[in-house]
Amino acid sequence: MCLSIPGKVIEIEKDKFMIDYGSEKRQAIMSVVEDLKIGDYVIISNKIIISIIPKNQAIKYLEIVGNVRKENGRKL
Amino acid sequence: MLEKKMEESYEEMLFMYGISCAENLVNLGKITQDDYDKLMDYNQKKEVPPRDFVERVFATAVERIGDEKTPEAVERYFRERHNEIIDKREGSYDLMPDSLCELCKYSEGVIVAIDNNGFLPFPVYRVTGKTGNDFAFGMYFNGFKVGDKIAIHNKSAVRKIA
Repeated sequence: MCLSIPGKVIEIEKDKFMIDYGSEKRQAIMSVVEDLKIGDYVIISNKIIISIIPKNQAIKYLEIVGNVRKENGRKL
Repeated sequence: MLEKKMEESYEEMLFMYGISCAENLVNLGKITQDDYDKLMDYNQKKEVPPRDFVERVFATAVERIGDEKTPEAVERYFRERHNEIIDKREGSYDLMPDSLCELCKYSEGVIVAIDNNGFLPFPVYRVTGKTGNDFAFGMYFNGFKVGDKIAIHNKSAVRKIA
Protein backbone atom coordinates (compact mmCIF):
# COMPACT_ATOMS: atom_id res chain seq x y z
CA MET A 1 0.00 0.00 0.00
CA CYS A 2 1.24 3.46 -0.79
CA LEU A 3 1.58 5.79 2.19
CA SER A 4 0.69 8.97 0.43
CA ILE A 5 1.08 11.20 3.47
CA PRO A 6 4.44 12.75 4.31
CA GLY A 7 6.51 11.40 7.16
CA LYS A 8 9.60 12.86 8.80
CA VAL A 9 12.95 11.12 8.65
CA ILE A 10 14.09 10.72 12.25
CA GLU A 11 16.84 8.17 11.90
CA ILE A 12 19.21 7.08 9.16
CA GLU A 13 21.37 4.01 9.48
CA LYS A 14 23.25 2.95 6.38
CA ASP A 15 20.42 2.51 3.87
CA LYS A 16 17.60 2.16 6.35
CA PHE A 17 15.42 5.04 7.43
CA MET A 18 13.01 5.48 10.31
CA ILE A 19 10.05 7.67 9.39
CA ASP A 20 7.81 9.35 11.93
CA TYR A 21 4.13 9.81 11.05
CA GLY A 22 3.11 11.19 14.42
CA SER A 23 0.87 8.34 15.49
CA GLU A 24 3.32 5.69 14.32
CA LYS A 25 6.81 5.12 13.02
CA ARG A 26 7.68 3.03 9.97
CA GLN A 27 10.92 1.89 8.49
CA ALA A 28 11.93 2.40 4.88
CA ILE A 29 14.53 -0.03 3.65
CA MET A 30 15.68 1.85 0.59
CA SER A 31 15.40 5.20 -1.10
CA VAL A 32 15.34 6.38 -4.67
CA VAL A 33 15.95 9.89 -3.31
CA GLU A 34 19.58 10.66 -2.63
CA ASP A 35 21.20 12.78 0.09
CA LEU A 36 18.38 12.48 2.58
CA LYS A 37 18.86 14.12 5.97
CA ILE A 38 17.21 13.73 9.33
CA GLY A 39 14.31 16.14 9.41
CA ASP A 40 13.42 15.71 5.73
CA TYR A 41 9.80 14.95 4.91
CA VAL A 42 9.34 12.06 2.52
CA ILE A 43 6.76 9.87 0.81
CA ILE A 44 7.15 6.14 1.19
CA SER A 45 5.64 3.50 -1.03
CA ASN A 46 6.05 -0.09 0.08
CA LYS A 47 9.02 0.68 2.33
CA ILE A 48 10.78 2.62 -0.41
CA ILE A 49 11.28 6.37 -0.10
CA ILE A 50 10.13 7.65 -3.47
CA SER A 51 9.93 11.39 -3.00
CA ILE A 52 10.98 14.26 -0.78
CA ILE A 53 8.59 17.07 0.13
CA PRO A 54 9.54 20.59 1.28
CA LYS A 55 8.77 20.96 4.96
CA ASN A 56 6.25 23.78 4.59
CA GLN A 57 4.25 21.84 2.00
CA ALA A 58 4.39 18.66 4.08
CA ILE A 59 3.13 20.37 7.21
CA LYS A 60 0.34 22.11 5.34
CA TYR A 61 -0.77 18.85 3.71
CA LEU A 62 -0.59 16.95 6.99
CA GLU A 63 -2.89 19.54 8.51
CA ILE A 64 -5.39 19.07 5.68
CA VAL A 65 -5.30 15.30 5.96
CA GLY A 66 -5.43 15.50 9.74
CA ASN A 67 -8.59 17.58 9.62
CA VAL A 68 -10.20 15.13 7.23
CA ARG A 69 -9.32 12.22 9.47
CA LYS A 70 -10.57 14.01 12.59
CA GLU A 71 -13.91 14.46 10.88
CA ASN A 72 -13.91 10.76 10.03
CA GLY A 73 -12.74 9.69 13.48
CA ARG A 74 -9.39 8.38 12.28
CA LYS A 75 -5.86 9.02 13.47
CA LEU A 76 -3.22 10.49 11.18
CA MET B 1 -1.16 4.08 -31.49
CA LEU B 2 -2.36 2.51 -28.27
CA GLU B 3 -3.15 -1.16 -28.35
CA LYS B 4 -6.87 -1.69 -27.93
CA LYS B 5 -8.00 -4.70 -25.96
CA MET B 6 -11.55 -5.60 -26.75
CA GLU B 7 -12.13 -7.08 -23.33
CA GLU B 8 -11.32 -3.93 -21.34
CA SER B 9 -14.54 -2.13 -20.55
CA TYR B 10 -15.05 1.50 -19.54
CA GLU B 11 -15.41 0.57 -15.88
CA GLU B 12 -12.36 -1.65 -16.00
CA MET B 13 -10.27 1.14 -17.48
CA LEU B 14 -11.52 3.58 -14.84
CA PHE B 15 -10.61 1.03 -12.17
CA MET B 16 -7.19 0.26 -13.64
CA TYR B 17 -6.17 3.87 -14.11
CA GLY B 18 -7.77 5.17 -10.92
CA ILE B 19 -6.86 2.63 -8.25
CA SER B 20 -3.31 3.86 -7.66
CA CYS B 21 -4.59 7.24 -6.53
CA ALA B 22 -7.23 5.85 -4.21
CA GLU B 23 -5.27 6.56 -1.05
CA ASN B 24 -5.00 10.23 -1.99
CA LEU B 25 -8.79 10.24 -2.35
CA VAL B 26 -9.16 8.83 1.17
CA ASN B 27 -6.68 11.32 2.62
CA LEU B 28 -8.59 14.21 1.09
CA GLY B 29 -11.96 12.90 2.20
CA LYS B 30 -13.22 12.22 -1.31
CA ILE B 31 -13.93 8.56 -0.61
CA THR B 32 -14.28 6.54 2.57
CA GLN B 33 -11.86 3.98 3.94
CA ASP B 34 -14.58 1.42 3.25
CA ASP B 35 -14.60 2.39 -0.43
CA TYR B 36 -10.82 2.09 -0.49
CA ASP B 37 -10.94 -1.34 1.12
CA LYS B 38 -13.51 -2.49 -1.43
CA LEU B 39 -11.30 -1.28 -4.29
CA MET B 40 -8.36 -3.24 -2.92
CA ASP B 41 -10.56 -6.27 -2.46
CA TYR B 42 -11.70 -6.16 -6.09
CA ASN B 43 -8.08 -5.81 -7.17
CA GLN B 44 -6.93 -8.73 -5.06
CA LYS B 45 -9.71 -10.91 -6.44
CA LYS B 46 -8.92 -9.68 -9.97
CA GLU B 47 -12.52 -8.61 -10.39
CA VAL B 48 -13.84 -5.50 -12.09
CA PRO B 49 -16.08 -3.43 -9.81
CA PRO B 50 -19.55 -2.50 -11.07
CA ARG B 51 -19.88 0.70 -13.03
CA ASP B 52 -21.86 2.61 -10.41
CA PHE B 53 -19.18 1.93 -7.80
CA VAL B 54 -16.19 3.06 -9.89
CA GLU B 55 -18.09 6.08 -11.17
CA ARG B 56 -18.85 7.13 -7.61
CA VAL B 57 -15.33 6.50 -6.30
CA PHE B 58 -13.62 8.20 -9.23
CA ALA B 59 -16.29 10.85 -9.66
CA THR B 60 -13.89 13.70 -10.43
CA ALA B 61 -12.17 11.72 -13.17
CA VAL B 62 -15.56 10.71 -14.58
CA GLU B 63 -16.59 14.35 -14.76
CA ARG B 64 -13.35 15.29 -16.50
CA ILE B 65 -13.57 12.37 -18.94
CA GLY B 66 -17.02 13.53 -20.02
CA ASP B 67 -20.08 11.90 -21.47
CA GLU B 68 -18.30 9.41 -23.73
CA LYS B 69 -18.25 6.35 -21.51
CA THR B 70 -15.82 4.23 -23.45
CA PRO B 71 -12.45 2.69 -22.62
CA GLU B 72 -10.90 4.91 -25.29
CA ALA B 73 -12.22 8.02 -23.57
CA VAL B 74 -10.61 6.97 -20.28
CA GLU B 75 -7.33 6.31 -22.00
CA ARG B 76 -7.48 9.60 -23.88
CA TYR B 77 -8.12 11.54 -20.67
CA PHE B 78 -5.11 10.12 -18.89
CA ARG B 79 -2.83 10.38 -21.90
CA GLU B 80 -3.86 13.86 -23.03
CA ARG B 81 -5.40 15.78 -20.14
CA HIS B 82 -4.51 14.35 -16.74
CA ASN B 83 -1.05 15.89 -16.45
CA GLU B 84 -2.25 19.27 -17.67
CA ILE B 85 -4.91 19.31 -14.95
CA ILE B 86 -2.24 18.49 -12.39
CA ASP B 87 0.06 21.22 -13.69
CA LYS B 88 -2.77 23.72 -13.38
CA ARG B 89 -3.43 22.46 -9.86
CA GLU B 90 -7.14 22.07 -10.55
CA GLY B 91 -9.45 20.64 -7.90
CA SER B 92 -7.78 18.72 -5.09
CA TYR B 93 -4.35 19.06 -6.69
CA ASP B 94 -4.33 22.54 -5.26
CA LEU B 95 -4.24 20.99 -1.78
CA MET B 96 -1.47 18.51 -2.47
CA PRO B 97 2.29 19.10 -2.18
CA ASP B 98 4.14 19.52 -5.47
CA SER B 99 5.95 16.22 -5.05
CA LEU B 100 2.70 14.30 -4.62
CA CYS B 101 1.26 16.05 -7.65
CA GLU B 102 4.29 15.01 -9.70
CA LEU B 103 4.00 11.43 -8.47
CA CYS B 104 0.35 11.40 -9.55
CA LYS B 105 1.12 12.12 -13.19
CA TYR B 106 0.56 9.77 -16.10
CA SER B 107 3.50 8.54 -18.14
CA GLU B 108 4.47 5.77 -20.51
CA GLY B 109 7.63 3.74 -20.53
CA VAL B 110 9.27 0.68 -22.00
CA ILE B 111 10.33 -1.88 -19.45
CA VAL B 112 14.09 -2.38 -19.53
CA ALA B 113 14.46 -4.47 -16.37
CA ILE B 114 12.33 -6.10 -13.73
CA ASP B 115 13.33 -6.14 -10.04
CA ASN B 116 11.96 -9.07 -8.14
CA ASN B 117 13.83 -8.00 -5.06
CA GLY B 118 12.30 -10.37 -2.55
CA PHE B 119 11.14 -7.85 0.00
CA LEU B 120 8.18 -6.63 -2.04
CA PRO B 121 5.32 -8.98 -2.96
CA PHE B 122 5.27 -7.58 -6.50
CA PRO B 123 7.83 -6.57 -9.14
CA VAL B 124 9.32 -3.14 -9.68
CA TYR B 125 9.58 -2.26 -13.35
CA ARG B 126 12.51 -0.17 -14.48
CA VAL B 127 11.33 1.80 -17.49
CA THR B 128 12.63 4.31 -19.95
CA GLY B 129 10.42 6.90 -21.58
CA LYS B 130 10.09 10.53 -22.57
CA THR B 131 11.07 11.69 -19.09
CA GLY B 132 14.13 9.44 -18.99
CA ASN B 133 14.67 6.50 -16.69
CA ASP B 134 11.97 5.79 -14.16
CA PHE B 135 10.28 2.98 -12.29
CA ALA B 136 6.77 1.67 -11.77
CA PHE B 137 5.45 -0.63 -9.09
CA GLY B 138 3.57 -3.71 -10.21
CA MET B 139 1.49 -3.43 -7.09
CA TYR B 140 -1.97 -3.51 -8.64
CA PHE B 141 -1.28 -4.92 -12.09
CA ASN B 142 1.73 -6.90 -13.18
CA GLY B 143 2.83 -9.77 -15.38
CA PHE B 144 4.52 -7.41 -17.82
CA LYS B 145 7.74 -8.32 -19.61
CA VAL B 146 10.94 -6.58 -20.62
CA GLY B 147 10.22 -4.75 -23.83
CA ASP B 148 6.57 -4.06 -23.00
CA LYS B 149 5.47 -0.47 -23.20
CA ILE B 150 3.25 0.28 -20.25
CA ALA B 151 1.01 3.06 -19.02
CA ILE B 152 2.00 4.35 -15.60
CA HIS B 153 -0.11 6.33 -13.13
CA ASN B 154 1.08 7.42 -9.71
CA LYS B 155 4.21 5.32 -10.11
CA SER B 156 2.12 2.19 -10.62
CA ALA B 157 2.02 0.06 -13.74
CA VAL B 158 -1.47 0.18 -15.22
CA ARG B 159 -1.54 -1.79 -18.47
CA LYS B 160 0.44 -2.76 -21.50
CA ILE B 161 -0.06 -0.36 -24.35
CA ALA B 162 2.37 -1.74 -26.93
